[in-house]
Amino acid sequence: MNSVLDWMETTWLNSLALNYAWTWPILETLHFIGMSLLIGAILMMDLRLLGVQRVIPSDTVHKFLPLAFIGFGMNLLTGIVFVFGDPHRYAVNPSFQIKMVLILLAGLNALLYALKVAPKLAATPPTGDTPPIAKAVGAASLALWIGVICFGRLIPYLGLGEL
Amino acid sequence: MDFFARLEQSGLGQWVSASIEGYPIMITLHSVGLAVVAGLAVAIDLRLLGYFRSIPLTSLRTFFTIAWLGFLVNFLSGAALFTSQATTYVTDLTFLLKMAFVLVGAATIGYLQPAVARIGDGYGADAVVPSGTRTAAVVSLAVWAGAVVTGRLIAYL
Repeated sequence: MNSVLDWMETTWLNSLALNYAWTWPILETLHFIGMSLLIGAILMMDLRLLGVQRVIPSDTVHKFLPLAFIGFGMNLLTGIVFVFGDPHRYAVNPSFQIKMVLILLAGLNALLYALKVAPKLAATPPTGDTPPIAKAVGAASLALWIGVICFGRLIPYLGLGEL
Repeated sequence: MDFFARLEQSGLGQWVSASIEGYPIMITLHSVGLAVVAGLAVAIDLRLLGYFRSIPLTSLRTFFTIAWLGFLVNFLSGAALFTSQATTYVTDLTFLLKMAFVLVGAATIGYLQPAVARIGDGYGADAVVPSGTRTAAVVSLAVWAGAVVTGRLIAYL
């Protein structure tokens, strides 16, 4: 583990993150914009899954997925630079660890949506209520992503880690 | 003692600036509210500009309400954060620029909400959005992006 973290500090990504004063602020700003794109799309989709926004046809709500993927992609790329920029501190930071677990769970939840929920939605009436599994997946998605924001923002405050 | 100095000395100002939990709690709430209001504003604006056409315009009404909820969270958490460093913020150009963006952003949501309601049910998914509404959507996209960028950069400039 330590050797991987040491190697990360020798990469060009580490230099990119640390050698220019503006890299970190610019990437952080992009990270917030990506977060907004992702959460906006997630809210639109999850509220339909919860059966709240039935005016949206149940088989078209996934049209917002590209927006979510753009936001997630931006944050994956900028996030990777952050971790390469300070690998030892991120690795031991409890808030970062929790955030990564929540993202993993959100990913598995999205997989459950694709495999189990999407086919059912396609078969329900366009403005009909959603099956319980859709409600559960929608609620879990909302809770997990809000958790991701919270623990992401708390990284500087919950245990700075030892260098 | 002037008003902004008194804010810093207030119980709230002291809690946010000096306690272990005050600032992290408020800045975390501020991030969640930001994602909700800016994220929904972007999604609504894009729909009005012709993306995601299969999403009915009438569905946007509920999302406006939720966007205002995010705005309220950020107004309150932002006010708390402001009290912690009020005397610094009032003369900070980045902060003042952000306030201008947020003000225009709120105005665009306030303008778009009734405008979208007026488009009504009759148009359906292929509804033609009036050009004034589309212009407001473009302004909204620009100022919310500006608010996020300047808000984040307050810590650096």
